[in-house]
Amino acid sequence: MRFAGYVIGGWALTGAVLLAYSLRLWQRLRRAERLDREA
Amino acid sequence: MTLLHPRLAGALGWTSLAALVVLAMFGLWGAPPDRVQSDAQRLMYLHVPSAWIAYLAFGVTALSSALYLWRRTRSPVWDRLAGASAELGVLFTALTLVLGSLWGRPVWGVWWAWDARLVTTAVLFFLYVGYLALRRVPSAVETRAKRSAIAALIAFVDVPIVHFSVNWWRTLHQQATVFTPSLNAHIHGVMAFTLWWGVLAFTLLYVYLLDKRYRLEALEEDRDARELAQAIDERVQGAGVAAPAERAEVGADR
Amino acid sequence: MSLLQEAALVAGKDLRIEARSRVTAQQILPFGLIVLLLFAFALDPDRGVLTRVAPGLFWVTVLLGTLLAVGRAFSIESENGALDGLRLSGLDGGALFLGKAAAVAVELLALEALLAAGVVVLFNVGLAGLAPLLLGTLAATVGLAATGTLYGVLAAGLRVRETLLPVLLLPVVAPVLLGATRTWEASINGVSGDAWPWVALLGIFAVLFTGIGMLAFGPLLEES
Repeated sequence: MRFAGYVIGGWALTGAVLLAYSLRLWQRLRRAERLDREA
Repeated sequence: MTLLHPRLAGALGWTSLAALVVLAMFGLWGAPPDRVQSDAQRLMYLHVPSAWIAYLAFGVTALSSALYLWRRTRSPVWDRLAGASAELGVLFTALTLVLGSLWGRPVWGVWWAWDARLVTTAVLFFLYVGYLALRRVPSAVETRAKRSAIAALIAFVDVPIVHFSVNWWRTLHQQATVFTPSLNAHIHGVMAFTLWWGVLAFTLLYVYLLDKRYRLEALEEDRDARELAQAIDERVQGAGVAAPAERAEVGADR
Repeated sequence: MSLLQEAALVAGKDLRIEARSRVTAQQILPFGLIVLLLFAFALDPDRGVLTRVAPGLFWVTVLLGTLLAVGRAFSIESENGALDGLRLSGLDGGALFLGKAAAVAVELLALEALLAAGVVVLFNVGLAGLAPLLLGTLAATVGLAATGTLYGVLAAGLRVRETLLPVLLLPVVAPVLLGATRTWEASINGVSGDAWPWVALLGIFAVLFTGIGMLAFGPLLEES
């Protein structure tokens, strides 16, 4: 593939960013639900 | 406290993941390389959907903000939705800018160019980063909601102004491929399919993340209200004053 | 009292405070000149670079000055419950907005006059095409003052006001920076015809944000 670095890099970065955001969101949500239950 | 039924949200999550995997298959392999740009063009299948979802997200924020400001429809739901959607909008705008940069480098030879589309997108990014900063300032919920709503609407108005004014420069960014003035798309076949599939996959992901982010916003707001009520209670009891006979229901709004 | 009379009252108050405290004169104006000086240090003064980029540098400096002027306009209300005084005064929200924005605009015009002299003297710029230049500058100033006052009240009373205001205001006034710079460039280079579309943009921006400010100032003041 020509420009493979840019292409693969872009797709990998997108996947990583979306995954990281989702993981962080789930983590914050789990914590919030736990605190909600304890209240 | 959610936008979607929990089981629907779960299904949506898995569906969007599957859709993204399919997108990767088409984007990286199934679709042919571009005649002019070769494989660099494959970044379009991420960059364009990302940009459209960012616009969608900010549109949701603007609409929710307007609905909050209008007294007849005022409800915490709109404020929370506005905040949740704006965060996603900033995420996808940042993604759009970075992917555009990665696409531009091999094709234009530069990481960045000062043309209308790029500049407008950069300003858009900063407008909503400011909005998110405003939302993080500690204040009463209604105060923060009203302030943020006005900031969101101004940002939404400012974007076409920026685009309109900057458009008087020559543009390096390519002209619209789909929404051309005659609505005659310049893109066909597998490439067109992959692009629209990308928009679909990103939209599903956006709705899923929006539902989760909205729920987080609602839970955190309730917790803040609860902790404030507790703190007031402790202060009142500590001072030896009789607790008020009635206490307003906190967190009753959904 | 009519809207304009109330606005004049508020503007008069703010300008009287300035006349007595001399903060704009002794702090904001020198700040503007210092920024011009810093630009001269940072850029090469010998190869005509400064002359070419002077309009841009001028307006960036004015923008930075706007942040200070707006911050000042609201910090004078933070003592002795002055903000509460405004709320209880019974003055119309739109009038309050017009008054405060007008005072900021006057201060900005003073800054711009000084900086224009600075740019002519220090950067070797020949001002020409005065009609679009002056009208464009006036429109840009109104736009900056209006938008600044709007965001000023939005951030008023917050401890993070000084750091929040730039982040909120600067992206929004990007079109003003663009339009004003292009207007100056076109006027100075003798192609006044090119300047008028930009003057129109600046005018539209000024009217739009004055309108938004008049509507939103009252409600925002109540909430802060």
